[in-house]
Amino acid sequence: MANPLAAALMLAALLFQGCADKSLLRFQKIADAAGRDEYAKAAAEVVKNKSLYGSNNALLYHMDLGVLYHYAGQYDSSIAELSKAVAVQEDLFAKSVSNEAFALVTNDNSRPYRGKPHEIVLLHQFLAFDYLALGKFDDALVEARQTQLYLDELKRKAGPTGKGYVDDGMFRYLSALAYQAAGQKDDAAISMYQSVKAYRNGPVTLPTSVARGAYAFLKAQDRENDIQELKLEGTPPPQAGGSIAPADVGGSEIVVVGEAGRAPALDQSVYWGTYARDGLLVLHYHDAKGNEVTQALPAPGLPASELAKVARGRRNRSGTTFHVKFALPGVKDVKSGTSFFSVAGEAAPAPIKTEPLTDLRPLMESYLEENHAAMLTRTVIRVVLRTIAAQETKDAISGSNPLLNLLFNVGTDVLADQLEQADTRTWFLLPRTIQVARIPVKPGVHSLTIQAHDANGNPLATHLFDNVEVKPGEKKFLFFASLK
Amino acid sequence: MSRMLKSVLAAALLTTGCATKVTRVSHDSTIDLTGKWNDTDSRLTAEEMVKDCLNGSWYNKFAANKTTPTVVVGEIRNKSHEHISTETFINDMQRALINSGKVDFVANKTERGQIRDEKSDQASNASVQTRQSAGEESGAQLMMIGELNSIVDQEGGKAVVFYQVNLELVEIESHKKLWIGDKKIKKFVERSETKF
Repeated sequence: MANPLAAALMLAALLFQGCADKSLLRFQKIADAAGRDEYAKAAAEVVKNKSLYGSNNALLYHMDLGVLYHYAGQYDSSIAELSKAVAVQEDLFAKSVSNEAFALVTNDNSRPYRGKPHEIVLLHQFLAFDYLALGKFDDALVEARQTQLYLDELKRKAGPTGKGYVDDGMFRYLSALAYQAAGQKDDAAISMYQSVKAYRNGPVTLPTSVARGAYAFLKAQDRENDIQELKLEGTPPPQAGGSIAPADVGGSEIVVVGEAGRAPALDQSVYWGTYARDGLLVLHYHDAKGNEVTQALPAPGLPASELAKVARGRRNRSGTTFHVKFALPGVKDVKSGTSFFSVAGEAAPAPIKTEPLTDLRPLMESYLEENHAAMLTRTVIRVVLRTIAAQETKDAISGSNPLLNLLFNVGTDVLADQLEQADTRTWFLLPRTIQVARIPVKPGVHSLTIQAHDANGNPLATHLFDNVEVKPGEKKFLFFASLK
Repeated sequence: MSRMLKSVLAAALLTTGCATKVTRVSHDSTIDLTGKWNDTDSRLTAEEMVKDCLNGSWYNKFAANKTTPTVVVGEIRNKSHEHISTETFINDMQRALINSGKVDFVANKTERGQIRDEKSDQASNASVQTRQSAGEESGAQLMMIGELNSIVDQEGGKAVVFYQVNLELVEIESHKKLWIGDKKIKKFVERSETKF
C-alpha cells in the first residue's frame, strides 16, 4: 500500500475488535450479582469471564476480584488479589511507547488500564480494610504509608497550585483511626489534621462529625496550632450516640464500616458529523433525554495557500468534506437503593446511623473535569489522524466506477467509526459511599446487628455480628457491604 | 532466503525471548530486582546485629558467672512502607543467635502455646513413661524486641529508600535494657518511565 497512514488504518481496522471496549459486557455479567449482594457468585463470574478483561485490564481484573472477596468477608483472598493489583499498577509505571502510539490510531481502550487516582487510593484503602478486619494493624499502616507516597507524588505532579483530587479526606481519617489502633498517637494526630485539610481542598464535603472528631482528638493531643490553622475552634464536641462519636483517646471501640450502593459507571457521549474545509462543522449528539441534537459550528476557513489556488483558478480543497466522529466518557449513575446503615445492640441501645466519609460521584466528576483537556487533546489527535488516513485510503482506492467508490467511501467511514470508542473502563464494583459509625464500648464480648436501609429507612439487608471481643484500648473494625 | 522463511525465523526469535528461563543461584547470593527489602537485607541485618549484640558488654556478666543467657525473640514491629515478613527476619535472627553458641534459646509465645497444647494432649493420651511433664519450661531471662522503619524520598522514577532496624535486648525480670543496636540500609532506586 502506498500510504503508511492508510496502511495503519487498515491494520487498525483488522485489530479493532481486539481493543474494543468490553466494559459494558463485563458490567452486564458481573454487576447484577454484586447488586444483589451475591458477592461470592459475582467473584466466580469474574474468574469465569477472565477473557473479558484481557492483558490490558489485568489491574481491573484483580481489583474486581479483590473487592468482591472483601465484600464476601474472605479477607485473605481479597488481600491476595488486591496485592496482585498493586503489583500490576507498579509495573504500569513505565508507559509503553508502542502502546501509546497504537492508541492514537485506534482508541484509548488499547492502552493498559492504569486506574484513576481515587481508585488507586481506594485499592490501598480496601487492602487496609482487609488487614484491619484481620486485626493486622501494622500491615494496614503499611498500606497507609504506600498511599501517602502515592498522594505525595500526585501533589508533586500537580504543582504548588494544583487543585482537585490530590489528597483524600476519608483515607486520611481512616489512617488516623488505624494509627490510633496501633497506639501511634502522633501519627494519628497528623493524619487527622491532614484529613480535615484534604476534605476542605477536595471534591468531597467535610462531614460534620469528622470535624467534631478531629477537634476533640487534636485538643486531647494538645495540638492547638493545628486547631487554629484548621479554624476548628468552637466546633461542638462529638455527639453522644452520634454516628462518629470517638472513644476517649486510648479507649475501646467498635468501628463499623459500611459500603453502600453502587459507584457511578462511565458511559460514552458520541459526537458525529461532517466537517467542510472552508465551511461548517456540523455535529450531532444525543442529549441527556436521548434526543438527537444537531449543532453547526463555523469551521476554520481555507488557508492562504488554498485561497491563492482559487485566485489562479486551479483545483483546490475548497468544499472538501470529511466525516468525523469522536466519543468522550461521561458519568452514568447506577441504580442503587442502599442509603445508610444502622447499628444496634447492647453496646448501642438506640440504633446508631452511619455517616458517609466519601462519595464516588463527586470523585468521578472531579476526575473527568481534571482530565478533560488531556482526553480531548488525545481524542482530537486521534480523530485528525484517522480522518486524514480515511481520506487517503479513499483516494488510494478510488476508481472509475462511481458505485464502487461510494461503497468504498462508506466502508472506510464505517471502519473509522467503529474504531472510535471512549475509554469507559472503571472500577464499577466500588460502593457509591463508604460510611462509618464509631461505637465506644467497654472491654468484653459484644453483639451488634447492622442493617442496610434505603433512603426512606426501609431495611434492605441485616447481619448479626456475634461474639465480637474487644480488649482494653482495642479498636475492632467490622465491615458490612450492601450494593443493592 | 524467502520472505516467508525470514518471517518464520523472526517469529521464532521473538518467541524465544518470551520463554521462561530459570537459573539456580546460591541461597546467599545478592540479587536486587525491585529495590524493595529482600532476603539479603533480612539475612545480613540479622547476622550483623546479632554479632554486635553478642559482642556487647552485657554478655561479660553472664560469661563471668559461667552461665549461658536464655533469650526469646519478642515482637519485631514493621513500621515501614513495605509488607515485610518480620517472621523471616525473626527466623534469621534466631538462627544467628543459636548458631553463635553463646545463648540458649526458647520458643516464642505462639510456639510455646502449641507445645503446651501438645503436652496437654500427652497428659491424657501418652504413656506415663514417655509423657512430657508440664511446668518444666526454661524461662527466658532476656527478650529481644524491635522495629523496622523506612523513609522514602521519591520524585518521578527516582527514589531513595532508607531502612532502619532498631533492636533492643531487655532483661525480663528487671526491664533493664542491656543492649540497643541499629542497622541502616540506603538504596537508590531508578525506574524507567517509558518502554517500547
